[in-house]
Amino acid sequence: MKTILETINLNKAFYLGEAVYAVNNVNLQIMAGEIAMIVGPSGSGKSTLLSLLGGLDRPISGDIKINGKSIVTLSEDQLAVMRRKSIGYVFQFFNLIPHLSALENVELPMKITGASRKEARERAEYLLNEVGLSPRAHHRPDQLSGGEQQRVAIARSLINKPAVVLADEPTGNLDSKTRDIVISLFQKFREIENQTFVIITHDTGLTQYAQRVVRLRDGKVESVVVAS
Amino acid sequence: MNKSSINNLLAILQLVQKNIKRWWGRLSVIVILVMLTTTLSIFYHSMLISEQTKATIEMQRLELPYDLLVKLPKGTPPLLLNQLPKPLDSTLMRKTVRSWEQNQWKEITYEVPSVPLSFTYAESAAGGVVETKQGSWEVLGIQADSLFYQDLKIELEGAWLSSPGDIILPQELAQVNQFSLGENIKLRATTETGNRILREYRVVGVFANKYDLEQPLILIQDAMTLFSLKVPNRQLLQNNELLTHATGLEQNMSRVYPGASFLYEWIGQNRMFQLTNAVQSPSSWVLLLIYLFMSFGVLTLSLITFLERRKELAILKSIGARNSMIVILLVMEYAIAAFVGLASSYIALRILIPQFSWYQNLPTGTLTKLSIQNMLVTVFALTLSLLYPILLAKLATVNQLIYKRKIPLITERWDHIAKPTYEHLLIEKTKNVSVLQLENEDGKLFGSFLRKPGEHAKKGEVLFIQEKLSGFVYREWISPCDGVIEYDPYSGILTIVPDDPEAERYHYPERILEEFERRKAGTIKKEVVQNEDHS
Repeated sequence: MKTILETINLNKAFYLGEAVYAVNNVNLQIMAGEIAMIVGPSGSGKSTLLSLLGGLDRPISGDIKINGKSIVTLSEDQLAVMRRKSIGYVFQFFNLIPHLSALENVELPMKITGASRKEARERAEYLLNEVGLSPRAHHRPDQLSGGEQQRVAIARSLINKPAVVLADEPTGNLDSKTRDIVISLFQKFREIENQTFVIITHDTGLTQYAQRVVRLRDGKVESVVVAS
Repeated sequence: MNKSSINNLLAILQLVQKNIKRWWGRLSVIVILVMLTTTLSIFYHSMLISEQTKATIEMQRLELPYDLLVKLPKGTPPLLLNQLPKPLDSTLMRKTVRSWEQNQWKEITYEVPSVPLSFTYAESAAGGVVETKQGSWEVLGIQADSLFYQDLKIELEGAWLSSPGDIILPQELAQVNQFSLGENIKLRATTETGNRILREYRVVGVFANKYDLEQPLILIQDAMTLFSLKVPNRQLLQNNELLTHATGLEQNMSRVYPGASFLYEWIGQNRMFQLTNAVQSPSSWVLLLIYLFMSFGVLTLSLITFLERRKELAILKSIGARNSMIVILLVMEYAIAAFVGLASSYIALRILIPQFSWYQNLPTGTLTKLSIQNMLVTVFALTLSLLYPILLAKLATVNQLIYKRKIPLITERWDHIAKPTYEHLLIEKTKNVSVLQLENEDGKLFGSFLRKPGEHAKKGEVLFIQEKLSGFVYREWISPCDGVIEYDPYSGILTIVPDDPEAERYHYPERILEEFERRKAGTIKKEVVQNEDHS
């Protein structure tokens, strides 16, 4: 299997009066078409690591390769283009644009790529239908529940058919029924589009769906378990 | 422009429309600010221009028999003609040259600087202020055969000045005070020493026409006696091109006659220009204050809005929006607000200003000219207020925007010393290590180690970070090779002892290395000499 995501000696420290390492010398490999889950206690650096993988933050040293290409030396503009094509990101707190409807939020990343309004609308409607939100498509985020907003964010991350979807606690705000829908959606897209999912979770029950489970502690990789 | 770009632009427009709906309150304030500023400044400015134009038109020229009257300061004698400067600055004059070319006459007109001409004629005179029963008068004592008054003699009722004690009155002065020919008038003058002199004069003539200056004329000898003058204190001058070279007259003459005052045909207009300029000068401050008020308002609003919209911009970046898209988005929102403000203000002014009487004096095109000028100032203020948000949105990472972390405007990364000293290079060469210079003050470091002294670091790894100027400047010191780090707290020198002594490291420019070798050779030589001296 091909390596789609790779980190080499990755470090990230925050300057809070003194330097605090959130990610410490992390070496990781994720294969194409995998569902990889990153688990670990709070403050272990999971979200920071995911931000670095998505180019939302910059490491202080080390390298990140997506499809064999390093992203640490890219400018903010180049990173934006890379995200547009290769990465879908689901934030822990949804981060939807508050004055756009669910449908508009989902179609926006596709419109930015230059796709026609019709194409974007069709794809957004399809994804909203997949996450069970067709009836709520024209509601604004403040008219949706936390779980619904999370599903809109998931649909948005999938719109451009990215090679890698990075999701920070995507099921944290969902009830068990919706959680199952979202997980099966990830599995479905993994099978149809051969997409890779890197998911942060606290829910140990989810790891049964993963092909790779990475355990972090104090910013370091404690263990990597690959399902046979 | 391909289909994809058009779709992209349409997406931005749609977002702009939504954003205007979302931020309509803020944008309305910008619209009102622009509208108020534009209306106030253009209204005020056009009123000033109108008054200035009116004053200039209404100010008549004096009708004087001479071109220039110099009132000399106490004790300054009149200079000879050749001692006087060419009175004025040169101006550009149109010159046409005809030439015979290719069987036809050709005319070329071009502009050349004119040559100011010297004064052509001068007369000494004397004068001052006298007291009469009828009030204070300024009298002028002239020569009986003054060339300047030849034309006025024709319009005279009575006789010209011929003997001491004669006085000629201007028409208006004679009429108001009911003086007739042959009547005696007592004039009292105060001399420079403070003595009062009283003299009686006989009216020999009255000017038939209105005479601008209302100055009674007496003979120069009488004036010298009346005012106890040793030298004449007035000079009358003629210059055929005084009108052409209007500018700089008083400045040029003041160089030879410091402290003198001057009188010439268009002194009224000159004074009016000076006066209106003096009024315009504080007015420009008022206008500047109006513009500053707008700029400050827009700037503050823009920054507050940016702080609130950081997350929105971060989301756009996270879903793949390039910086250009964010710039277009912000610029379009502000441009629409500015356009609405400017347009509504322009319409209001077009309706409002013609209602005032001073509108009649406003030169054609003034409103358009002021509107364009105002538009440029508005565009400048808006650009300025957008510059910082745009710059931050460009430099910041998505997480910096979302989590409202400090966004450094300047980021520096050092794996070598920018300007190594002799001591730095000496350490590198003699110990075969790499050195970095940390900024420390009295042994105290303003920053933080990411790899502590004694630890091993990999090439490219950040060893030390520092934030300066409240986070505007962020610096990283990077290991140039794999090795163990050491730190000297006194000098602030961070040393990296390479694992592989042959490892490639930063190569300083030849110029620096040559200077080092030269100094090293000099030092060795000095040491040898010292050792020889000791031995």
